[in-house]
Amino acid sequence: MAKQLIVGAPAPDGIVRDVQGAEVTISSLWKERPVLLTFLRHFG
Amino acid sequence: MEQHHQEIENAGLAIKAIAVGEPKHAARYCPDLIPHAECYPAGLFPGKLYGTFGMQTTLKMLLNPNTAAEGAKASAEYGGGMLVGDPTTQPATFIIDPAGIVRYAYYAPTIYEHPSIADILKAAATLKSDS
Repeated sequence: MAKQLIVGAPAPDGIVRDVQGAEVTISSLWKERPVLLTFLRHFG
Repeated sequence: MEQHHQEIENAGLAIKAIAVGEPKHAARYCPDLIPHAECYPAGLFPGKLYGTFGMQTTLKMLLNPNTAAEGAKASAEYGGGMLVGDPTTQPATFIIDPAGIVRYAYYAPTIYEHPSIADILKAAATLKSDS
Protein backbone atom coordinates (compact mmCIF):
# COMPACT_ATOMS: atom_id res chain seq x y z
CA MET A 1 0.00 0.00 0.00
CA ALA A 2 1.26 3.47 -0.88
CA LYS A 3 2.41 5.53 2.07
CA GLN A 4 0.36 8.69 2.40
CA LEU A 5 2.07 12.05 2.70
CA ILE A 6 2.03 13.66 6.11
CA VAL A 7 1.63 17.37 6.82
CA GLY A 8 5.01 18.77 7.80
CA ALA A 9 6.99 16.22 5.80
CA PRO A 10 8.93 16.94 2.60
CA ALA A 11 7.00 16.36 -0.60
CA PRO A 12 8.36 13.76 -2.98
CA ASP A 13 9.46 14.60 -6.50
CA GLY A 14 8.86 13.15 -9.90
CA ILE A 15 8.56 13.95 -13.56
CA VAL A 16 5.46 14.98 -15.50
CA ARG A 17 5.06 16.79 -18.80
CA ASP A 18 3.64 20.12 -19.78
CA VAL A 19 0.95 20.45 -22.43
CA GLN A 20 3.67 20.80 -25.07
CA GLY A 21 5.17 17.49 -24.00
CA ALA A 22 8.33 18.83 -22.34
CA GLU A 23 9.46 17.12 -19.14
CA VAL A 24 8.81 19.05 -15.94
CA THR A 25 10.22 18.25 -12.51
CA ILE A 26 7.32 18.32 -10.07
CA SER A 27 9.33 20.14 -7.40
CA SER A 28 9.71 23.07 -9.80
CA LEU A 29 5.96 23.65 -9.50
CA TRP A 30 6.24 25.08 -5.98
CA LYS A 31 9.59 26.87 -6.21
CA GLU A 32 8.11 30.31 -6.82
CA ARG A 33 5.08 30.27 -4.52
CA PRO A 34 2.95 27.81 -2.56
CA VAL A 35 0.82 25.56 -4.71
CA LEU A 36 -2.47 23.82 -4.43
CA LEU A 37 -1.50 20.65 -6.25
CA THR A 38 -4.35 18.42 -7.24
CA PHE A 39 -4.04 14.97 -8.78
CA LEU A 40 -6.86 14.06 -11.12
CA ARG A 41 -7.68 10.63 -12.41
CA HIS A 42 -8.69 11.64 -15.89
CA PHE A 43 -9.04 14.21 -18.58
CA GLY A 44 -12.23 14.19 -20.55
CA MET B 1 -12.25 23.50 -6.82
CA GLU B 2 -12.38 25.42 -10.07
CA GLN B 3 -15.38 27.38 -8.82
CA HIS B 4 -13.29 28.61 -5.88
CA HIS B 5 -10.21 29.50 -7.90
CA GLN B 6 -10.37 33.20 -7.04
CA GLU B 7 -10.48 32.54 -3.30
CA ILE B 8 -7.63 30.05 -3.63
CA GLU B 9 -5.49 32.47 -5.63
CA ASN B 10 -6.33 35.31 -3.23
CA ALA B 11 -5.08 33.07 -0.44
CA GLY B 12 -1.69 33.06 -2.16
CA LEU B 13 -1.80 29.65 -3.80
CA ALA B 14 -1.07 28.81 -7.41
CA ILE B 15 -3.37 26.07 -8.69
CA LYS B 16 -1.66 23.23 -10.53
CA ALA B 17 -3.11 19.93 -11.64
CA ILE B 18 -1.49 16.63 -12.51
CA ALA B 19 -3.71 14.18 -14.34
CA VAL B 20 -3.68 10.83 -16.03
CA GLY B 21 -3.21 11.35 -19.74
CA GLU B 22 -0.93 12.56 -22.48
CA PRO B 23 -0.15 16.18 -23.42
CA LYS B 24 -2.78 16.09 -26.18
CA HIS B 25 -5.43 15.20 -23.59
CA ALA B 26 -4.35 18.06 -21.35
CA ALA B 27 -4.41 20.48 -24.26
CA ARG B 28 -7.91 19.30 -25.17
CA TYR B 29 -9.54 19.12 -21.76
CA CYS B 30 -7.78 21.42 -19.32
CA PRO B 31 -9.17 24.67 -20.73
CA ASP B 32 -12.68 23.30 -20.06
CA LEU B 33 -12.10 21.33 -16.88
CA ILE B 34 -9.77 23.59 -14.95
CA PRO B 35 -9.12 26.78 -16.93
CA HIS B 36 -7.47 28.55 -13.98
CA ALA B 37 -4.95 25.81 -13.28
CA GLU B 38 -1.72 24.85 -14.98
CA CYS B 39 -2.08 21.27 -16.22
CA TYR B 40 0.58 18.59 -16.23
CA PRO B 41 -0.19 15.24 -17.83
CA ALA B 42 1.47 12.29 -16.14
CA GLY B 43 1.02 9.73 -18.91
CA LEU B 44 -1.59 7.05 -19.32
CA PHE B 45 -0.20 4.79 -16.58
CA PRO B 46 1.08 7.03 -13.79
CA GLY B 47 0.63 4.48 -11.02
CA LYS B 48 4.21 4.76 -9.79
CA LEU B 49 4.11 8.55 -9.62
CA TYR B 50 0.73 8.59 -7.92
CA GLY B 51 1.97 5.96 -5.49
CA THR B 52 4.95 8.17 -4.63
CA PHE B 53 2.45 10.78 -3.47
CA GLY B 54 0.60 8.19 -1.40
CA MET B 55 -2.36 7.54 -3.64
CA GLN B 56 -3.69 4.06 -3.82
CA THR B 57 -4.53 2.39 -7.09
CA THR B 58 -6.99 -0.30 -6.23
CA LEU B 59 -10.06 -2.03 -7.52
CA LYS B 60 -11.86 -0.62 -4.49
CA MET B 61 -12.05 2.70 -6.34
CA LEU B 62 -13.35 1.06 -9.48
CA LEU B 63 -15.90 -1.04 -7.64
CA ASN B 64 -17.30 1.85 -5.63
CA PRO B 65 -21.01 1.99 -6.53
CA ASN B 66 -20.79 5.72 -7.22
CA THR B 67 -18.01 5.39 -9.79
CA ALA B 68 -20.09 4.63 -12.89
CA ALA B 69 -22.80 7.15 -12.05
CA GLU B 70 -20.37 9.93 -11.24
CA GLY B 71 -18.25 9.08 -14.28
CA ALA B 72 -21.26 9.41 -16.56
CA LYS B 73 -22.21 12.69 -14.89
CA ALA B 74 -18.72 14.11 -15.34
CA SER B 75 -18.55 12.96 -18.93
CA ALA B 76 -21.86 14.66 -19.71
CA GLU B 77 -20.86 17.79 -17.81
CA TYR B 78 -17.62 18.20 -19.69
CA GLY B 79 -18.87 17.52 -23.17
CA GLY B 80 -19.06 13.76 -23.27
CA GLY B 81 -16.72 11.48 -25.13
CA MET B 82 -14.43 8.77 -23.91
CA LEU B 83 -12.79 9.29 -20.57
CA VAL B 84 -9.01 9.22 -20.65
CA GLY B 85 -7.77 8.00 -17.35
CA ASP B 86 -7.52 5.32 -14.75
CA PRO B 87 -10.72 4.63 -12.80
CA THR B 88 -8.75 2.81 -10.13
CA THR B 89 -6.67 5.84 -9.20
CA GLN B 90 -7.39 7.77 -6.05
CA PRO B 91 -7.54 11.56 -6.42
CA ALA B 92 -5.66 13.70 -3.92
CA THR B 93 -4.93 17.35 -3.23
CA PHE B 94 -1.99 18.92 -1.44
CA ILE B 95 -0.70 22.32 -0.45
CA ILE B 96 3.07 22.45 -0.74
CA ASP B 97 5.14 25.45 0.27
CA PRO B 98 8.20 26.80 -1.60
CA ALA B 99 10.51 24.82 0.71
CA GLY B 100 8.82 21.64 -0.51
CA ILE B 101 7.00 20.92 2.74
CA VAL B 102 3.51 19.44 2.66
CA ARG B 103 1.18 21.87 4.43
CA TYR B 104 -2.12 20.15 3.64
CA ALA B 105 -2.97 16.68 2.37
CA TYR B 106 -6.32 15.30 1.30
CA TYR B 107 -6.90 11.81 -0.08
CA ALA B 108 -10.34 11.34 -1.57
CA PRO B 109 -12.08 8.30 -0.07
CA THR B 110 -13.98 7.86 -3.34
CA ILE B 111 -13.10 9.04 -6.80
CA TYR B 112 -15.36 12.08 -6.95
CA GLU B 113 -15.08 13.45 -3.45
CA HIS B 114 -13.29 16.74 -3.13
CA PRO B 115 -11.50 18.56 -0.33
CA SER B 116 -13.35 21.24 1.59
CA ILE B 117 -12.62 24.75 0.36
CA ALA B 118 -12.79 25.90 3.99
CA ASP B 119 -10.01 23.47 4.92
CA ILE B 120 -7.89 24.61 1.98
CA LEU B 121 -8.28 28.28 2.88
CA LYS B 122 -7.54 27.54 6.53
CA ALA B 123 -4.32 25.77 5.56
CA ALA B 124 -3.40 28.65 3.25
CA ALA B 125 -3.99 31.16 6.05
CA THR B 126 -1.72 29.18 8.36
CA LEU B 127 0.93 29.14 5.66
CA LYS B 128 0.66 32.93 5.25
CA SER B 129 0.93 33.54 8.99
CA ASP B 130 4.04 31.34 9.17
CA SER B 131 5.85 33.22 6.41
